[in-house]
Amino acid sequence: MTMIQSNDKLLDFSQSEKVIESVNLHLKNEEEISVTVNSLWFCNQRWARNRAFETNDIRKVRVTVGAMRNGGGGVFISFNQIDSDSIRDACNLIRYEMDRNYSANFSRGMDMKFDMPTWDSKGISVWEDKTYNRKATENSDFVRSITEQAESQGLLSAGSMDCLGANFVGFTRDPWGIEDLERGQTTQAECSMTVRHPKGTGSGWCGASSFDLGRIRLDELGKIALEKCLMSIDPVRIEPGRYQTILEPQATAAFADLFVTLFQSRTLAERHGSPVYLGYDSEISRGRSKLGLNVADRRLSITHDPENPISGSHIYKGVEKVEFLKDGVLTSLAAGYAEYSLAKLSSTQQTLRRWSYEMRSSEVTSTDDMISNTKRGLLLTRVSGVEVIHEESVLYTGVTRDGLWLIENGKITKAVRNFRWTESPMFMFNNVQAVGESVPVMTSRHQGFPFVHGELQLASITQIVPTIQINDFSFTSTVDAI
Amino acid sequence: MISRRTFFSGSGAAFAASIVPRSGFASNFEFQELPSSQDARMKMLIETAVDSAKSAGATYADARLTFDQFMMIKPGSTTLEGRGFPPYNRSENMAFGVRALVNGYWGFASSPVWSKEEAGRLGAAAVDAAKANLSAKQRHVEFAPNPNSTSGDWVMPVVDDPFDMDSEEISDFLDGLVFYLNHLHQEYRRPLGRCGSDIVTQYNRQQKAFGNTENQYVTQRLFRTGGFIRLIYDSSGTGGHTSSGELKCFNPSGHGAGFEVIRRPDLREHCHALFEELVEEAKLPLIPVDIGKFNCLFHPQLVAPIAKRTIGIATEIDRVMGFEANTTGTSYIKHPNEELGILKVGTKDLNVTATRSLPGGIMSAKWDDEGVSPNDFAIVKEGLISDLQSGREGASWMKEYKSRLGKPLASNGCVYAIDAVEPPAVHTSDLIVQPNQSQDKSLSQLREQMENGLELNGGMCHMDFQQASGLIGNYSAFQIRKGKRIARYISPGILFKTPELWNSIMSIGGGSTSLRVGTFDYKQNPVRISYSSVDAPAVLFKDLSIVDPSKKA
Repeated sequence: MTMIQSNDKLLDFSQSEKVIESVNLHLKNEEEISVTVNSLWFCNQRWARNRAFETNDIRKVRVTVGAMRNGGGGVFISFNQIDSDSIRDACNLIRYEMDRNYSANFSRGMDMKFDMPTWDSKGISVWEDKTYNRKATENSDFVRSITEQAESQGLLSAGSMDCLGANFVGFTRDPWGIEDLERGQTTQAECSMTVRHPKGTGSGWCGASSFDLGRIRLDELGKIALEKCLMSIDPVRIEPGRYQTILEPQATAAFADLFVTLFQSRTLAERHGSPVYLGYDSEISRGRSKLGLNVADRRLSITHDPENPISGSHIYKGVEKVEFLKDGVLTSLAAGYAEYSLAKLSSTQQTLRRWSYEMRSSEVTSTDDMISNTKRGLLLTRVSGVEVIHEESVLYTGVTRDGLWLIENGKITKAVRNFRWTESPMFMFNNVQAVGESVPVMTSRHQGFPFVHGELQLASITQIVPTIQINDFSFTSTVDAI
Repeated sequence: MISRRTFFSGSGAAFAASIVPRSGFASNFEFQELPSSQDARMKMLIETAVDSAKSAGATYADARLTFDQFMMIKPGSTTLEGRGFPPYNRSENMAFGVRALVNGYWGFASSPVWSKEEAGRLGAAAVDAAKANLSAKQRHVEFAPNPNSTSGDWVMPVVDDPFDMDSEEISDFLDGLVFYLNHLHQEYRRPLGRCGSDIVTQYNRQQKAFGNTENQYVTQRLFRTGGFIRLIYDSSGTGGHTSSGELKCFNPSGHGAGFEVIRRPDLREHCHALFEELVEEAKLPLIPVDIGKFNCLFHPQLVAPIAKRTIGIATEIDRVMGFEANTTGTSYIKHPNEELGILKVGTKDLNVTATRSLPGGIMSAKWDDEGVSPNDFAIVKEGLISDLQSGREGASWMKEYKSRLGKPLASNGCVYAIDAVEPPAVHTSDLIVQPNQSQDKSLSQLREQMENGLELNGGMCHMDFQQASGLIGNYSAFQIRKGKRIARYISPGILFKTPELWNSIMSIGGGSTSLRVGTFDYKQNPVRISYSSVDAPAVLFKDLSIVDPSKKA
């Protein structure tokens, strides 16, 4: 079996399915198996110091085969050569390791068949040909115009323009012989840039991502980054403390991510230690989450809508829109297969689509109005280096970056030095002064394939979040980095 | 329709069987090695790629082939809840990457296919990628010569190649360790309460071949072995409060070593010592943080990540020059030619050397990913930043400084890619923070120097995007009075600025306090991961700012 065409950027579905067929045949006597075939193409153009310097064209393939026995742990093998010998060798090794390790009486103690969700997941597709077919040469003019703008102002621009295409075929056979095949494909375009003063005295950033390159307003990005840099030159040091702070959408997204993570597992939410855990209910002999209770400002709602082309994330046919948060009340918790089955959730509640979401407000205030209504506060572009300080109280730290300004008496008066902050999204989203229009932001990229276990992961998620004004945002110290 | 095996079988089946890095999955039985540099067909793939790039217009090109194997083996763990499953993960990955330089623009193309056809395609694709920028503004690259370029083979010296061992032998050893820990759990049940342990071991082996348009061709075999043994105990007996401790002789980022780093002869002594340490800790009262300025004794487990971030990463020349400005950030060093040899980052006692020849170091290699044989070099000499981590392009950015010193334009050999599918970049080499040469001060001697302060034996170092200031948190810390530990602090934090920290060194521990710590870092777009070792001694600092990181403003 030979699979890879030299000129193919991605494996096609039929090639991946041949791999799966072969594995299934080799492991026909194994009790439970899973196979995923991932294929990825990534192309990007990078520039720095006002010059394009690097263009990358990367192709990856990964086959992961898992076998489980007695309902317990298992053996997992992955490889990227998909000829018959490699597949055979991998399957032989799996059988060898399974026989060696699983003669013991391991059991997960959950020897039951899960009632699987009923959605049709045969075609997850978040695809745009314009993104996939984008040629590196097409980016050149864009990079030239961006860098010329910066150079003409005596500034330095660095950035990258990325396009990615990926697909996935996943297969499972459970102990009852039920087989399930999933397919998915996605594209992702991303462009971001930082414009800096050559003496390091100012920095501005702008970026955006979408599955559809056509949805990114490339010309605007350069102008915004440049403007932010010019506005941020020679920042002054002000005292750390609590400030009424306007977080631009990119900054909001960092905290919204941490917040949404709290809703990702029903099981965890019903355990001590989760910030959305309510307490132990002796009547039902289990913990209760804050489902149905207020957990955020009454204006805030968070939804996942698979049919929204802008959020364009998990297009599972037949999966309904989910509202995690409605008017500040926790209305749904994400649940995996096992949780779905155990909790006997309705099809609306069960979901594996926690990463893409939209945060909206029932009352919208413009950023200009937020600024003019601020007596003394800060305007923040984005944050970086976000790391946990205390998990149970969802307390995080990080630093501000690429544009922070002081607002006095309704006007932006000066650029200020960056701060280290210490804050909890649970506190923030309950101390909201005003909320703006929601817009898509640049998602945080992670290493590897966008599909993991059949879920579209961070590489292709979309967050739609608003500018948000928070009271008493906690800045704990100044940092030297500009 | 090309794959690894069809290509090689097309080249002659009998020979193919001896040349193909046959799947490690057929292992335990018949693994065959990557061929040596003398092997005509391995060399042919590299040559085809660079020739293709050259004929397409590259002024310079290089090509890499990597074959990576990874194994994660975990024994049936003993947790507070009981015995768990022994999961087993294994992977192998083959990659082919070609990099080409055209008119000052770099192009890179990579894929998992090892074939002559693909070699030709990748060479041309790398040039096409570089040429995509030809309509952009012209870029000048001064590529430092590599006068000592050599060809050859190198194998990282290891005692036990884990991929030549039967995985059962590894599992047996780990199962034996679990039985021993169970015995210790019983022994220490009274002082510590219920105990559990978590053991994970990970093994990586990489075989790589590199060649370039300068007729250089090298092959290397590299290893990284790591993991952790974590002891978890519930001193309350109710599940209300658990504490844990980790064995410090190996860590998740690993060492440039084989299975010997796990099967070390003193492992049981280390385990026993860790239990003893936890018992001593458990006797001490837990107290809230004292805010203020205090002298602090850092164990090497904390000195190492701080040195990596504030000195290692900060001296990567691409960061200094702004090439990472849009992703992971720049550096507090802004102008190499103006600041090198002048910027005072620490006291005269601070000396840090970058090396790729450290026995057991993760970044140990005979050649970097540009074919340069790296020399050890001082990054910090008597407290002054004296050099930067560079490759052949970046070397020219320090030309003026090197010329003042009468040194030739040369790469420091810091270019690295974790595998051939990722484009190479400058990454931090292994680092050695020089211990006290005049007096081998032990940890307890350093502690005795403290009248009133803190002792920290590990932790997280949260840095800003220029490595200029940071917050240390999430570690266990002790209150020291008159040279003795008298209490445990609940998660204090330390706020610091890089030069202020290293300029507040009171005393550096001797060689006996030094420990090798594995560290991890990455660059972005695309993500480029690297691991490196840091050898660091214990260090006593004066008047650091202690904060409660869990307190908001």
